[in-house]
Amino acid sequence: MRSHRLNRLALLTQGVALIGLGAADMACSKEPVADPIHVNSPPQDPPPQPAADAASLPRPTMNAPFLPRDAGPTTDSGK
Amino acid sequence: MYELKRISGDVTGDVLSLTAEHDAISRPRKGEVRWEDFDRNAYSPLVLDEAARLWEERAVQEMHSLALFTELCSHLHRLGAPLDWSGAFARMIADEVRHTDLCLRMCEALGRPAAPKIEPGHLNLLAPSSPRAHVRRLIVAAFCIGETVSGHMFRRVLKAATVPLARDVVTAIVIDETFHGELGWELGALLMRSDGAAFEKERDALAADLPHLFRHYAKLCGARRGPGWARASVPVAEGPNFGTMTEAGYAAAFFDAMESDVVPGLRSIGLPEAARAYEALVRDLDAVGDRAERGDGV
Repeated sequence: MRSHRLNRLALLTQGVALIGLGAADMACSKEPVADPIHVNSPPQDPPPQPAADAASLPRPTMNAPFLPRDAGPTTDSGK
Repeated sequence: MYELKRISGDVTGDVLSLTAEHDAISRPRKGEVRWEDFDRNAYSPLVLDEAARLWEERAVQEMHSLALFTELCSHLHRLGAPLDWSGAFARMIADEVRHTDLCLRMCEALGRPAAPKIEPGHLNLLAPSSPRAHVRRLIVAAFCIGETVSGHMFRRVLKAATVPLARDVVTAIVIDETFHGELGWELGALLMRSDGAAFEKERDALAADLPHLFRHYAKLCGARRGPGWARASVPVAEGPNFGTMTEAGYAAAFFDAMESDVVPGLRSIGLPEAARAYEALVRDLDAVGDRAERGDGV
């Protein structure tokens, strides 16, 4: 490696650090800033719907995805 | 364990969009590979077998690089790296796709199509929450040492290759490896910027790990004795050359790369302990060579 390239590398080590500590850094930080939803956000449970809204929802189709809020007690509790 | 297929295949007879895009990415950045000019009937089956074995091995190595660089890129996103790091990694990931594809196409051209077995557990990947010290260590290892040595090797392999098709393929790889070497050293230097006591601890741990890293790469490069042995041995076997060197030839490339680039580069980015670590490595390997010459067994 030529000396000018070695000198350039040495210069590049000077300056403000460009990356943080990662997970440890985040653990020490203050309240996390809420991240707005974007197209590749991780999936989230839908917020609970008021009863009136739920009634006005379109009728689900046969292959609509299962919603956790639809899971209720079974009719036959075995008691 | 899975078998690495080159192309998904399409039962409709059309080329899948993803395959067309892959083919575009896999073309050399400069020049071309003249696949159609190669006549495998001009070579003996034994020579073709040996060449195909080598290129299949290389396909596995390139696939490992592809997995590692992809993994590193996503970790750098978590650590807050500037966007130009993502751009540089996107190019490098594409390069590794190209190299893996070229290796597998070489096997096809040699009349020995390959679907090498990949053991996911053997891929050198980071844990999901790896801190920056692990990422930095991996970049110093994979780029400042691994890609730098690999660049030296491929440039020598290009000189050794006599079969035109092999020269085309190795040329395509050498162009990319030159960029990887430059990028790797820039990344290594930028990652050595201090932000306080935590960095100093991480740096010291990395410096203490250099002897282990050097031994690891010496082993990978077939450097089982010292540089004297490697440089005095025949680097290239006789006969048609499909891009291969002898074990000593690879070892000589390792020692030359270490002395001309790796050790001076590591010193420049703030790891002066590299010089002593390399001296210790050479001393140990020379001792192994001395014992072998005396017939003490190695």
